[in-house]
Amino acid sequence: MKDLKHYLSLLAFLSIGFGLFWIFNFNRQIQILITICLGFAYVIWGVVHHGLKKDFHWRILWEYVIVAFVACIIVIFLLLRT
Amino acid sequence: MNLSDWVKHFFTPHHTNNCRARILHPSVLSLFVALFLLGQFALNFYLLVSPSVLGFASNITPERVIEITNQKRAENGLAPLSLNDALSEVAQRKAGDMFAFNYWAHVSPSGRTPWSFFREAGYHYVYAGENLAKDFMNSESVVEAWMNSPSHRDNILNGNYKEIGLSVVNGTLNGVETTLVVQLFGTPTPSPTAQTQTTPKVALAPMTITPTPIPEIEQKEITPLSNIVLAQDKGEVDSPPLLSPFMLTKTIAIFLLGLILGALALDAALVWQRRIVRLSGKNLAHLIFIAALLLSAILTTPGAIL
Repeated sequence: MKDLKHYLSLLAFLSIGFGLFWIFNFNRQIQILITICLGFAYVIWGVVHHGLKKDFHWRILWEYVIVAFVACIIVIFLLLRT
Repeated sequence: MNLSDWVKHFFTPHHTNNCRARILHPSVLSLFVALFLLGQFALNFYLLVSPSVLGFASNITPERVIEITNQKRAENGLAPLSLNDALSEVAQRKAGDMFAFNYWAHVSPSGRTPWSFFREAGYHYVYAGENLAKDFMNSESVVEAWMNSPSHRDNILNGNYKEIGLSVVNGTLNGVETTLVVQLFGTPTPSPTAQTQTTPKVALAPMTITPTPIPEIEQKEITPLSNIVLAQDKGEVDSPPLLSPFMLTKTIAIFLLGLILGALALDAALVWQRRIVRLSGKNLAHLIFIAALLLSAILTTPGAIL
């Protein structure tokens, strides 16, 4: 599969983030911080991935920002409800 | 545009949506966020105008929490803590203060520390500690959450403590029916003489307070609220609330993330099948990211410790 290393790195940081999220269960401030960090890391991953593929465009950046923002804001507001 | 065309336009890559499901366009995703936030603000407003309608029902008993706490201590070779009624009275006052002044913290917004409650109840201590919890389903999950937090665990497994006091109180906090659990630890001073010679050592989870003299703070009279119910008298909440704001938010969150995940999967499959070439982000990456956050949302349970 093409870009296997890229996707493995994505899986690696998401797994670490998810693991930390689980470890810090009930510690809402840290869980919110982890979620924000995952969002930023995902956007950076997208920029680096498309940069290396030489098909980077500002519209692609915007798409990664929106996807990260939507997912993170939903999880953060859920955490704030507890 | 008939319904079939509209569904195609919304959920599948088509010439009408620039070969990307409309639901995945940034404008529609932004609309989802806006509607979600609007719903959250509406829920907050509803909680303000109709408190106690939404809430959280639990079945926690002080006896069971103390029993499990002593089990954990026994597993770690520590002596069991004996129940002290004065400490339970302190815990009850602390819970009542949190409901009366609408806060969730070790120190009240006016700067009132837990130790002032000890003094009020006439409990003189050498060592003291406090664990707080709210919105747990049962006694086991409360102690388990504390045991998973290093600072709270340190309090439970502290060999210096001899006595325990516990209060489980139902009331309304920030407009939501809440069950507060206040767990206090203490070691009383051995004699009145020793009280004046010993410097008290106190520990709050998750923070540790250095044993400096506690400044005198103006004591506010706690106004008894009719909506505060001592759970230890009843064992459980009288009538479960109609709906939990947490469960409502969780359901909406899972639905939205699931909808986006499904749309991404369908879009990816059709793009691969139809060999569509387009300028966009990677669907597989979006799928993995959204799936990770969806899993986090599913595993998020109510309950908080302090």
